Amino acid sequence: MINGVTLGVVYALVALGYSMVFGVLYFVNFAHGDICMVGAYLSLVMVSKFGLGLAPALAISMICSAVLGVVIEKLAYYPLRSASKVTTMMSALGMSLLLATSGQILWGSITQPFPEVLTIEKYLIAGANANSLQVLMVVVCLVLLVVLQLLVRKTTIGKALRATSVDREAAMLMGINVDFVISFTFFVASAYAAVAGTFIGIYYDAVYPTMGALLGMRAFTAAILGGIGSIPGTVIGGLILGVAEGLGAAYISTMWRDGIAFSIMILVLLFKPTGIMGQVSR
Amino acid sequence: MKTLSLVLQTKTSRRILQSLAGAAILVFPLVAKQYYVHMAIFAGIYAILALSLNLVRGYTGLFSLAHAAFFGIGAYTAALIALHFNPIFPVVVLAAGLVAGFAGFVIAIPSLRLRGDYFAIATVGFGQMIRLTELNWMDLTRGPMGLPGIPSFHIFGYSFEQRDYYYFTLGLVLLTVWFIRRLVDSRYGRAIMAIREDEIAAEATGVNSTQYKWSILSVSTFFAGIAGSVFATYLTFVSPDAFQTGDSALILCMVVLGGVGTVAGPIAGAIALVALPELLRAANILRLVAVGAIMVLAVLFKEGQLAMRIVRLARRVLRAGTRVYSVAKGG
Repeated sequence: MINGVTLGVVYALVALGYSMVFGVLYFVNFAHGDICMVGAYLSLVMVSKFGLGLAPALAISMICSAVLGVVIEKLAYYPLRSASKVTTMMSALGMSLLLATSGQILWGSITQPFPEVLTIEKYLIAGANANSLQVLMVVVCLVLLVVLQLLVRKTTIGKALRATSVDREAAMLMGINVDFVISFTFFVASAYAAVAGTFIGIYYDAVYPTMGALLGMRAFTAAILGGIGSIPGTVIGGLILGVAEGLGAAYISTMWRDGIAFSIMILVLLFKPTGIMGQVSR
Repeated sequence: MKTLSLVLQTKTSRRILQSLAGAAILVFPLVAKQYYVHMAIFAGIYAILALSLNLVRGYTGLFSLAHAAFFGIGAYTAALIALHFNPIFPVVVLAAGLVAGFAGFVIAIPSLRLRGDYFAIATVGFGQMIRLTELNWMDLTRGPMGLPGIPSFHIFGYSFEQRDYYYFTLGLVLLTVWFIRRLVDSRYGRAIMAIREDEIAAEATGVNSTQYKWSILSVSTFFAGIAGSVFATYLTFVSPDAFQTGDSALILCMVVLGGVGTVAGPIAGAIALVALPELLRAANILRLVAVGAIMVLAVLFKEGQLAMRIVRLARRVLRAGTRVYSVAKGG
């Protein structure tokens, strides 16, 4: 249960990236999961090669990944603004392959353990066992989620972002720099992805080049389960998915753990494509 | 040069060239090294996959990311039938095609309620479910260990050798091309292309788009299954490794590289991407990077007018360069 909640908030963090990009550009950024992988590797390199602590390593990794996200957007998606969504998705798929294989070349295809950055203590919270890593993950992720919610709801750029996602052309006519808003979206989404990737790497003590694909698909499931475009919905989706996976692995079979995410995804797509808290579908 | 192009334009010379090319393809396995024949068979298998995916992606405009999974269903069906019953080869091929086609049909019914990108995501999900089944149904598929020792195609006591596989695959490619040509030029073909251009308008003019979509998906996956049967019995081994979402992307890349919605394009794309590892032999991993890069670049070139952008950028750099030069010269 605690495991599920911990994973759930991390999924939510990644899912937000899909959700935000889908909100402004209406396509699925397949490369998003792979940015998580890049973020995890960057943190790993910062910790193991440069001997940084977790916090500075994470900060550097966030910034680098965020820049990478913006660069990818400019290179692979910006020229396709007027093309169809499906075309952009193909470009994203190519980008995802490109990132995953580049990771393989840069860092090798072997699974690397994450060096010990935290001393893990065990607590008993409300009758359940938890350790300090889980608490840290949940707290950091929740803080980031709240920050994002405030950013979107209370600031000028947040308002611009909401306007862009409602109607891009109208927003442009109102004097909103839509290209900047889109870049900003990719910036935030990729920074969050780096945090999520790093946490998953620490949590499973494993960083490998294809981790992005699996994490990405799970997070995407969380995004559609909760309803694309809604931040609270995404968090709920992430939590449900995390808990379902945790319980499924415990009571059914660990072999079919991945199957749970995909079954949920297909069921949601078939019966309620707008998700739990989604807006009216377009 | 001019005379050469003029000579090429005449009908007879084109005929001669075509028959020369045809003859070269026919004698190829008799003269080429075994390894090259092996590559050619692979190119043929992937050409069938790319051609059939193009029916869905190129002509109907649906974005399926599960093609490799249907290829896998065909391969596993052929492997299991050949291992347990070992019938003559047409039975194996047809069974593989039918099972894969049926799987396509079963998956099409629910997912076609979804449009565009949601459909693509649902196919990713189904593709993963199929792979997980192959991986975890130990009694039937032996999971990640795969199924070794699959008997080759045989008929009347004669067992297929590599050369026979070459001709058989060639025949299948030609059959697929012929079928797609006929299909696209028919009333059916016009209907699916109308759906691609504008589904609502097509519906308005009386095209039952759902019916067309599930039938085209079944046909496409039928061909993928046939390709799977050749793959499994030729290699005499199947494992879930060859049928992942990445492989679907590879097939898609062949289609995109060759040209979406054409007949020759996917074949050219398949040959290019099967031959690519030969060119990049020094580093096998580069092949996968290349697939990703080719896909992005092909899409950008086609839809994003990349070439034009590069020219424009080059011109701007050149102009800035001349300006800097003239300023430096003047000052």
